[in-house]
Amino acid sequence: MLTVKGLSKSFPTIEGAVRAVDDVAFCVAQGQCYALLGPSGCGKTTILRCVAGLERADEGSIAIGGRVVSDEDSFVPVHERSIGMVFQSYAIWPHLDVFDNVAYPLEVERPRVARAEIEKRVGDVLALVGLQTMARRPATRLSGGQQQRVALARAIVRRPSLLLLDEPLSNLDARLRDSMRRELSTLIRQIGVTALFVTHDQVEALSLADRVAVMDQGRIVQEGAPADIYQRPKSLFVARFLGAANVLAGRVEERDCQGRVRIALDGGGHRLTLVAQHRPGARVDVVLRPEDLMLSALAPADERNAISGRIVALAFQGSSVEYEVDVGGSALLRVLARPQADLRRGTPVWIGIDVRRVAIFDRAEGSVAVDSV
Amino acid sequence: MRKLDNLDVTAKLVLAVGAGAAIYLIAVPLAMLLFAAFRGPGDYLPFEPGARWTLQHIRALFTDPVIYTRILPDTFIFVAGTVVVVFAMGFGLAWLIERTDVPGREIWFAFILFPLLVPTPVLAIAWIFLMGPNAGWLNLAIRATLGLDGPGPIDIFSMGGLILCQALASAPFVFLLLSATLRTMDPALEEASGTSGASASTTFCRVTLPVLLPGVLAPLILITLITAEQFELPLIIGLPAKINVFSYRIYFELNPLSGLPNYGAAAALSLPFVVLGVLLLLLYNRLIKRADSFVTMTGRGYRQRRLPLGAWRIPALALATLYVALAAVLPAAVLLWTSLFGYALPLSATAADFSLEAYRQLFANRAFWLGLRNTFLVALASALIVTAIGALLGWIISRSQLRFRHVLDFVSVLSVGIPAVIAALGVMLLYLSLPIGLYGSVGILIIAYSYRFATTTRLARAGFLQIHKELEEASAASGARWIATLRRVLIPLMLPALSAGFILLFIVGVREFTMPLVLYSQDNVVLSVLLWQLFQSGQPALSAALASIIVAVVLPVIFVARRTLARRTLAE
Repeated sequence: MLTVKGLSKSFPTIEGAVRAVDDVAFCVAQGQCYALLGPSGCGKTTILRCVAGLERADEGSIAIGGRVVSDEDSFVPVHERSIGMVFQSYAIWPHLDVFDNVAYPLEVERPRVARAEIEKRVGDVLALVGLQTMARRPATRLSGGQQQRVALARAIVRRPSLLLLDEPLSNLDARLRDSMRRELSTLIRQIGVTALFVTHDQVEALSLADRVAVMDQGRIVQEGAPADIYQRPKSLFVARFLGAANVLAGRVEERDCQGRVRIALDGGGHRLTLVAQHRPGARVDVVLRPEDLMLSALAPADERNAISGRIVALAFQGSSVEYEVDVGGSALLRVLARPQADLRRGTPVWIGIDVRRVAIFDRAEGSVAVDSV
Repeated sequence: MRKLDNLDVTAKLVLAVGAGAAIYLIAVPLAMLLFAAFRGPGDYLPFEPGARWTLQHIRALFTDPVIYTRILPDTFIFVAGTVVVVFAMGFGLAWLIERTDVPGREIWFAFILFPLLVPTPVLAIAWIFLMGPNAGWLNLAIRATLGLDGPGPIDIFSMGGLILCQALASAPFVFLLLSATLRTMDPALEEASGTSGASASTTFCRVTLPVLLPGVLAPLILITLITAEQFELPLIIGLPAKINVFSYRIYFELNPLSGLPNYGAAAALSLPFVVLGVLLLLLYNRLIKRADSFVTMTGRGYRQRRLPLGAWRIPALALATLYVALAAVLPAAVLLWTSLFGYALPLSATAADFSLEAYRQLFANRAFWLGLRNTFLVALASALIVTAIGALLGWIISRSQLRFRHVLDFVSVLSVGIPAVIAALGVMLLYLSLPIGLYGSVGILIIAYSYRFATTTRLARAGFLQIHKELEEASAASGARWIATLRRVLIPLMLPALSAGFILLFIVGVREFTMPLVLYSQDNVVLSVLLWQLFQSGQPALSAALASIIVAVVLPVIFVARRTLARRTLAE
């Protein structure tokens, strides 16, 4: 449906040209929902704008539904592409009411769409987003969630082959964001539109998309299904970005004939033994997810893969508690666990580590990830 | 051009026409001026057969003793004196109304706008009726009160009189600029200094003054430039006083007492003026940028802290009343009275002196109706043209990535630096040379007036900056062509900014006197020029009647314009 090949774009800045997008390629299949995920400034929005036709790439090609809309020689302007776009600010025109905002794409369509047809299609799409009773409300009197629905309705009313969403939930407050995310997910699947969206929120990307591309400094660093990416990050960057991961520095002490390595963590004198391919002597980063750690006041039976420490802070979050545990060395480990009455600030605790869920990255090799099995 | 990939042919065409028109309206007349300065003999148009390249005009300019002994000193004293007086007036009024609890702010505001809205010749004639050395009302009143003998004691036909009149006329402009500066200063800046432990006087010296300084210096530069460009009062009041400033001298070269107009000398004289204007403008723009980066309006509503005047209320009110009396109330009164009673004075007039004869004569005069039609036609048409061009330039400057946009920005700002008399000279040279029959028609006035697009460009730019770019992109992403986006999204959203610009330019157009005088013909007479002609030909009652009608037409505009002007800073 959407094919992007070799896409690059630079922007001039005071310090010279900055490559915002650097040789990016990806495909979005028909009916798929694809997320570009990355921190701000990673180039994801630039890609979206190039696909929309709001920017022209320096190099590379973009094809929507088999039609090349942008390459070295040709460029189809934005209004001639079969797209619908939800903008980060929603861009609801303040001089028009809800109905006129949504009807706009049909009103500017050539050849003209009959008035009755416009009324019917706008009515249908407003019903779809649950705004049928607000057709004549001025755009200036809409809440954030309603604006989002209007923006979505306007983007899908002319049945585009590709729906583009630029940080569609970032303008909403936390509570509304959760419900709108579910609604958006249902709606996109219901109308079966191919969607490409960009976000810096990993929860948004992982829960909405069928496929996720994680971006860093203008490049896609990992692409795959959400669960895949989350469980098997290929680099420290991806691991960090996808969850509030703990990163502990360490050194591989020895490796036995069964492929197990023993890693000494810096400070505190803790050791982990797990299956990995790192050579003895290598400096590594050990990534531990807060929700994969088990917290207990009692020493575990097997002390090999457990770390002792002391709780220094805890934040109650309802169904879970985030504990910060001092395990010696410079880093505090964050642990997400069910509330336990006997765990308080100052309590000495043991942190049990499921070595199958630990990711290790060799510092010297950059970002080659090796999972223990 | 890759930068314009998203624009279709129609869009490129519309933008090109806008940009082309802007350059044509300013650059071509200026180019003609430049040619004329280096082509001679002087009474030949630059491209007339027989004209050749010469440096004689430039040489004459540098060797003419009159320039050094009369024109430079007179211009300097006039500008420096006016700027000092007008700044004192403008700052005093702005400070009283914006930062103190002086009563009746709204009413003062409306009165202060009066001189800004009526054509300057109307004011000039009224001031002559009030302060003429022999029969001026004020002089008669002072002489009667103090038992003095005439003439005097006030002599309007002197450098002091000219400076006073120019200051009275320009004060509203300075007032508006400084009001904006004073109003947009967030009181939290001062309050933060107070909570840091600074005393009121320390706060004033360390915070208030430094923050306000760029916002005060910029209007100072602008008013210097605009005073230097003045032509109306130097002609009507300065000429009888034998005061000879730059702008009048240019007019004199075109309309010598005897002989043919000397285009070359007029053009050569204009050049240093234009250069000076551009330099001042560049300085002004630097200061404005600094002022904008300094005084940030946060957008959230804050309550302006006002200084309680207490016992100073009486002198403050007296000063404000004095200004309003001299600049608005007395001029309007003396004009209306003179139109009905002629030379008879208010205290000694009898019912027999009352006569509507002046109005009857005026209404019977074909030139009056023609002038009325021309005034509104030209003001309306030029305001429309300039608003359209300004909107297009504003879009190009604020939205496109074209390198060329900086040129357009400069061209539009340039219009502030070109005095009306020079703009008219450029237009005159151009259309005398072009054989298309525009010279002497109403059309040439419309074209001439339309060079002032700095204000609308600035307003449009500010308007576009307030419109989120995504509102425009959403239209394109909905499948709309640029022209549909323009019609359905941009123009509706820009309507407040554009109509403010339109009203301003319409007022400027109705007030215009210099350009229609320089480009005058029987067919394109406008009311301000007709007024001056009537006054020159010694018909005080008739000219007072015409002036009264102009005032009556302008007064309702005050109420329309007040809100617009109150909200927006005048850039021109």
